[in-house]
Amino acid sequence: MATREAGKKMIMLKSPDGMEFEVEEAVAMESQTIRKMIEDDCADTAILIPNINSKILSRVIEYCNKHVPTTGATGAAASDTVAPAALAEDLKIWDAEFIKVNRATRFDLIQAASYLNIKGLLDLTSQTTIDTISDNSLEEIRSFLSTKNDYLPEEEQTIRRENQWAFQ
Amino acid sequence: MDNDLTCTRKRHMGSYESYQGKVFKKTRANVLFTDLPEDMLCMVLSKLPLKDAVRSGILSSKWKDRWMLCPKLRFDVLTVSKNVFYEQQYTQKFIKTVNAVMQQHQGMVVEELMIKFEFDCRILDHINSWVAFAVSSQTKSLALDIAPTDYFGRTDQYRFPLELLDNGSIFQLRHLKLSFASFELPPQFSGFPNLRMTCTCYVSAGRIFKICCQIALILSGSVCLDAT
Repeated sequence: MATREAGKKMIMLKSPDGMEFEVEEAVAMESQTIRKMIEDDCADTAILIPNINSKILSRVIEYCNKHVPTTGATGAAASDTVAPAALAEDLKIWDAEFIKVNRATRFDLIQAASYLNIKGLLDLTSQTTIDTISDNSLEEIRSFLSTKNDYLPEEEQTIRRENQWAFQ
Repeated sequence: MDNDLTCTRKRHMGSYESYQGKVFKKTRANVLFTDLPEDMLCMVLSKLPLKDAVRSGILSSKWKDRWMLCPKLRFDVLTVSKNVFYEQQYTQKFIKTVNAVMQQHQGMVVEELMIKFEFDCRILDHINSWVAFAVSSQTKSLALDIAPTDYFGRTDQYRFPLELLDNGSIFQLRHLKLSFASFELPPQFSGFPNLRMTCTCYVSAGRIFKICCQIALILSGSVCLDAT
């Protein structure tokens, strides 16, 4: 165990509210933004992540930690015994639990995933948002988005006519 | 399975574990979807099937054109429901839909364009115009999945109009997925410099296998071409 960990390069991530998170480089590099910083040698021992508070950053790290490819020393045991399909299924279940957060947190996660450029997390957060509204009625969606129908009846007809195929 | 990272993270958890609880909720209970920056709204919207994204235009005047800012367009059987009885009707409806959406997207950037439709030589002009649309929309990822169900043994593949691609679009293109297509390389064609990924099936480059190899090299060096 000690020898395995000794070989890992660690990176310090700092949130604007002063928290520090020590993470494996491979985990941090799940973020394309951080990967680029590291690859371009812009990353010192600590990287300040602006605009993402420690609460959200900790969750993002939790996500990356789970999703870092299970190759090499860390994942050898897991991938030897479990089929890739089973691993993917396990990840899916984990994701579903992970994203059970309130709306504000989810929106914060979307913004964090976008800034840090973590495709998987961006897909998960935005798809979840879509799923929560797509089965609702038009009025429910308007209420969710707090937007009011301000079309005149004839304007609404024009829109329906322009893209008739979508409203059939 | 906790490794050292999880342990590190846990060390910090104590001070803010209430963030999912009431304290956090109280201060930010009224966060709205529309509080997200515009580009993220579009990004979320682009997860919707095109049909649903278009329908969002009916919500209110604020939402009228928002779906058009989505940088991805996907047309498949889900876009145009195949509930019409005759195949011919479906073809017409599909073409009409694609053309209508593209007309509304004229002059906008469409990073990703995916069209899944069974090739029929009678709609050649339309497919060519869709490729031209990708060129003018600075598309980075183009997928023309047009293999018909009875492709085996057929030789009337879609001739991919390389001549429609200008220098700009050749430079733009990063992903290219083609099926049931053939290439004729212009003598001066020197490849796609930024192509990172290609996924081609049932693509042939004419009768001569040597040309196939040449295309494989030109496209990205890692393409597997099946000459049919």
